[in-house]
Amino acid sequence: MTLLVYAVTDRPPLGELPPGVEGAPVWTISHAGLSALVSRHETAPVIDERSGWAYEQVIESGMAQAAVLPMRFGSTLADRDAVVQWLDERARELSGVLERIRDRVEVSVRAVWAQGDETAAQVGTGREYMEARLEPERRARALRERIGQALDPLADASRYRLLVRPSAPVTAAFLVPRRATETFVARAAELDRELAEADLTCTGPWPAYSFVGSDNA
Amino acid sequence: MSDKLLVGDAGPVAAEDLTRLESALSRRIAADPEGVEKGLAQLVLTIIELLRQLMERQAVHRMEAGNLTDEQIERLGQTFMALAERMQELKAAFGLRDEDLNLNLGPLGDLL
Amino acid sequence: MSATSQATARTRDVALVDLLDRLLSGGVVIQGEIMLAAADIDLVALDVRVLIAAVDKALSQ
Repeated sequence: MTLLVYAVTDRPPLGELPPGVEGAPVWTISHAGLSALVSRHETAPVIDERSGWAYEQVIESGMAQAAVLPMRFGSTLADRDAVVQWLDERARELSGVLERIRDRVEVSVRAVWAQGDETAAQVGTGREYMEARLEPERRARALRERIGQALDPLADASRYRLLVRPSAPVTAAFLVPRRATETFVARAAELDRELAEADLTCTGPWPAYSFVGSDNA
Repeated sequence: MSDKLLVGDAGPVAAEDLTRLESALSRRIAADPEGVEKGLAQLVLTIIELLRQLMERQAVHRMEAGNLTDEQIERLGQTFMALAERMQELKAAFGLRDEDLNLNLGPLGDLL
Repeated sequence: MSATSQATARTRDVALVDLLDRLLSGGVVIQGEIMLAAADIDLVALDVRVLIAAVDKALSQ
C-alpha cells in the first residue's frame, strides 16, 4: 500500500474533494501549516487518460480557494508518518514556492509551422549538412523572440523549449495572474493571427506545473 | 475536460502527438524471445540515436559560434551524414521506425 | 464519426497532450527521480535522460 500525493496547499480544501485516481477517496494530511492531498493505493498508479484527468480534477478543486502546488504524477509516500516527515523537511521551501504561484495560473502556448515540413535543402557536402541542421534552430529562436515580445509582458514568468520535435519549434508555458488570464489569451489569439508562418495552440488554465519543481523554477 | 483549449483549433498535430503519447504509455518489452531482442535493440538504438543527435547539436553550435575551421565543419558534416545513414541501416535491420526510437515520457518531453 | 464529434475529440486530444506533458515532467518531485509505473523501456530511459542532460550541460560549459 502506498499514498499517492496530488498536491500541497496552505489551506485545506473546504467541502468534499472529488474522487481521485482509480476512484480512490482523497483526503488531507496536515503539518507545519501545509496540507497534502493524498489517496491510498495498492501500488503506484499508472498514468493514462483517465487517471490523468482524475488527478487534475483533484488539484483544480483545491485551487478554488487556495494556492496549490501540484506534484509530479506518481509521487508516493509510504504512509501518514512519511507524509508528515516530508512536509516537515520541505515546509519552508514549499511555502516559498506557494507564494510565487499564489493567485496565478499556467497557460500553455505551442507553435507549429503553418505549412508542414518544407522541402529539405539539398544536402551534398558536409558543410551543407551542418548548415541544414542549424537552420531549424535559427528559425525556432526567431519565433520564440516574437512570442516572447508579445506575451512575456503579460506574464510573471515564462519557460520556453525549442524544437522538442522538428515540427514543434516552440513549446512555452506562462505563469499568469489569474485575473489577467483573459487579457493574456486575447493577446495570444491576436498573435496567432499576426504570425503568418506559424499556428499557435493555447490551453489552460492549468495549475502551475512548470514553475514549481527545482528543475523548473 | 475539453474546455481547456483557449486559442487555435485542434489540427492534425494533436493526432501526431497523441500517437506518440499512446505508444510511449503502452510500450512494453514483449515476453517472447523475438520481442525481447527487438525491445533491447530498441533501447540500445534509442540511446545511440540520442547521443548522435546530441553530438550533432554540439558541433552545430560550435560552428555557429565560429569555433570550427572550414575543414572541421566539412569533416564533421561528412561524419554525421555517414552516421545518420548507418542509423537508418540499423533501424531497418531491426524493423524499427523513427517513432520506436522515442526517448521520452510524454509527447512534449523529448530531450532532443 | 461526424464532423462535430471529430472536432470535439481532437480538442480533447490537444488538452490531453498538454495535461500529460505537465503531469510527467512538471510539478514538485518528492526527491530525486520518480519511478513511474510506465513501460519498462521508459523507466530505464528516464535515468539515461538525466545522465545525458548532465553530459550536455557539462559540454556546454
